[in-house]
Amino acid sequence: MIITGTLVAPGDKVLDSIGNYRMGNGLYEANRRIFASVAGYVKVYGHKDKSDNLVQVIEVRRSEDQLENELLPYDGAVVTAKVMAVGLRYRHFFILYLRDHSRFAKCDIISIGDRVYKKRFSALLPKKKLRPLEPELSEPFKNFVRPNDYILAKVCDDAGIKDKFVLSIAEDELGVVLCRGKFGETMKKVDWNTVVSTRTGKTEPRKMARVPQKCMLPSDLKDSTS
Amino acid sequence: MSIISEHGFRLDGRRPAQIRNVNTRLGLNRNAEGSSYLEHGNTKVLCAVYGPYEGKASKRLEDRCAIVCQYSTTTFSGLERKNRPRGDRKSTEMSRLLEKAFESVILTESFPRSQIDIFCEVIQGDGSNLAACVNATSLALADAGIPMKGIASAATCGIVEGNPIVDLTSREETDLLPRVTLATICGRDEVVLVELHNRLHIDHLSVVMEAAKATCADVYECLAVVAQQHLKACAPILGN
Amino acid sequence: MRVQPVTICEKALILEALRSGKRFDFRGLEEFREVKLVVGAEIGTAICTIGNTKVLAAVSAQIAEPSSMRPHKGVINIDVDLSPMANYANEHDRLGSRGMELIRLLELIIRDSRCIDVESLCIRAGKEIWKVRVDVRILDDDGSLLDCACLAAITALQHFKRPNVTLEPHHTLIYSEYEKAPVPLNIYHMPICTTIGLLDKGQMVVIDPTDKEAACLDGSIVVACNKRREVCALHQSTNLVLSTKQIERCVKLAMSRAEALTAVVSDVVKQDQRERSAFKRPDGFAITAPALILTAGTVAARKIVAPVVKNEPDVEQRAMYQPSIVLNENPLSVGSVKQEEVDNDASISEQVEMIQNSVGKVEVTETQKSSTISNRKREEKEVDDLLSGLDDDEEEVQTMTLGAEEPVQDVTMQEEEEEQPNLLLAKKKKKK
Repeated sequence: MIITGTLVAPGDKVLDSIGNYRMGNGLYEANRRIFASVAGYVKVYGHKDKSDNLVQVIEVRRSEDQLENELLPYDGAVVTAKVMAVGLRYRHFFILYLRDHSRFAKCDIISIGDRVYKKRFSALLPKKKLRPLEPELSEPFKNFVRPNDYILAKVCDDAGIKDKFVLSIAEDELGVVLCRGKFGETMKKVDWNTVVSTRTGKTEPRKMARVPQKCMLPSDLKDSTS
Repeated sequence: MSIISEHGFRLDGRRPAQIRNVNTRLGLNRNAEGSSYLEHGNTKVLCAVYGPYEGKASKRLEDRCAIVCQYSTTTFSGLERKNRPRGDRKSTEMSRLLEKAFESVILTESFPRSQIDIFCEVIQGDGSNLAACVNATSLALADAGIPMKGIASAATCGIVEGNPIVDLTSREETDLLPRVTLATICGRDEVVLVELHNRLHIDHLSVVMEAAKATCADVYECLAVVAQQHLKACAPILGN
Repeated sequence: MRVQPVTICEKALILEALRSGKRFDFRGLEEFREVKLVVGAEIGTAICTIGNTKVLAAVSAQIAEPSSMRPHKGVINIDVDLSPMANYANEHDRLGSRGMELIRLLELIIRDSRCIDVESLCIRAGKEIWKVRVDVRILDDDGSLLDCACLAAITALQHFKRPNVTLEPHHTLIYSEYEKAPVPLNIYHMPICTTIGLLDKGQMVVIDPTDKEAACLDGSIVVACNKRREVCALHQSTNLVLSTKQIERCVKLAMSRAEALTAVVSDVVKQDQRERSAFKRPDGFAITAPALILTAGTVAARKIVAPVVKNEPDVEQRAMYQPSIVLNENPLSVGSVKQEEVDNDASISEQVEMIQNSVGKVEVTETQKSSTISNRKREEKEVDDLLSGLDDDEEEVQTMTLGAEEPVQDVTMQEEEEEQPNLLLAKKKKKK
């Protein structure tokens, strides 16, 4: 009988049959037996699934922190990404229109929390994921995010797009965290929807992220308006 | 000089069914997602695993992860100095065999459109080079946390006058001795890699296979313990 | 060109058939395809055919300097030419991964298993050795490429004879075949290769898979055995998960095959030997050319109706055969009428009327639009002309095949009559 906290190696048998458990990460099934697929500790925990039942989930984890367990950006993770370009189609070539009609912003996922990825992952930010509700936006990307902005976004699960990750900045805590102006100068936040350039003084519309207080650096806390 | 002396010992004092000492270290390479260093007696192998990451578009597969292996021997690893560490036919063949073996071991369906890079470097080659690489790669993959069906363990076995000898050294890997390199998952009867050198009579085939399988199981025991111990050492123990 | 992937439904069909033990060429799961082996007129050449896979091997020898590592051993080089001729997925002039694998496996089987005595290829130790070169050219690829290539190479090597040499104090004399008989190579054993496909994680074994089958299978394993019941090579081409019992079973299958094929190779070479010693001119590869008559590819000969040959030069421009129904005509072909252009409803209905009222009218009734006779309009004019000259007879239509000597005028007119309404009606229908 496998108890929680047992150390397993890949290929070790964890359970003889799935029983009442649900399979989590780090396990695979073969011949109706459950085996471990990573080296880690067995963990059983309760989880409320979609129909609000409490199910016991069994998984093998390498460490307590979920970020350490996942190799790639997973659904629902908050990642830091950089907007590379804004364009019309999401195929391999981009028709860069400076105007509206743009439906996607091409982004590169840089890091997830504290963990910086060695190689960036390509992702897309669709027009409809810029605001919580789906209004008809004109010139969406000009008012929300622009190329070379660093954004905090959440990875969604979009069945339509299979070859890239899909991001969303629909929530309040998500949005632009750092942007630079035309001359490379920093832009300071005026309010949640505009930034001002420190050099020219011109304001530009952006959707800024309401980063929770505890995540911000002390220097930012000083000069940020709540 | 015969491979097995009349007292039943081999050239390095081992019994025919005895494997060499296995020494390992995991997590040496900070840049790589997973890395390992493995010694089978005098055969020393370093392995580094990178990924999964978004690989080249040309290599991308829609439903699975692409695995790219590179087998390289240093110029000072063998008896004679080798000018080319990699790129010759033998290294390309070894790389291909490693790729094919690990495509069966890694659960590639979990990472569609990604790529995993595996780099093996033989620092000192004293026989059973391919088997040592397979073992080192398994450990590096376990270190990286990439989901696998199990730890693949490998061994090279030969047969002399009807007696199987396991874990061959380079002095025993002669042109006359038929040898089989076999890799299995978790010591079970699931073979992922099989390679034969020289001619082997069919009557000896089952003998060699059985011996190789048993050796793989022995090696697996060592590797599993190593993987668990490394995890215990570097990750905090989970409370309830 | 990229490899065309097997379609999902095709793959499902092949797998289902294999699982129920059937194959598309009516073989059993453990049956091999027929092997044909021919040696050429030039010594050292052979063509091997396994089903549709065809491989040509040619062996030649040259004197060269040995490497410093092995001064008294000859060298055997194997070169494989995998061109788009075999399979359109191959690259031209470059060996892809498949080609490299093939070369490596052939080297493993022929060179590393030491089936040829390389020390006998030495002329002067450290200075001159024979460098034997085996050129394998893949002519057609339909699965089991390695088996075929190996067999062809082995046969060519058995067949090959190198020139005789004598050592003089300061030079080496090479004799031509007219002075001294050439010497065959010293071959210890013949490794014969078998490709065994695996399905369902090794539970099912498919012998000698064709190209399409191989694309659907899980993996394959290559076993080379020789007559002395030794395994010369054991190689997995793709990823597989097997048990040792299955490996042993595959080896047993390959062993029986090797024994059978070794006999075939020896027979072929011996027979050629006999013919040559009887001073008979060898047939060479000529016997491989099948005596087939070129057809259009259909099983039954198509009944082709020849059009009327009139004296008018315009008519002769028309195509040699006219199909009974013309749909989607190519506007570029000579003498065709564009569907859109024929919107002279009136003229068509007129023609139809004429056919219906056809009573021995020989003369031309009318030529409409004689003023603007463009190409298309000329066509209409011709049609008119023909219809106007139709007979009254309502005999049966006799179809004619190509090659009939005398086109019977009346009968052809009948056919024209039959055809034209179809043609026009079809046009009319299409237009509507």
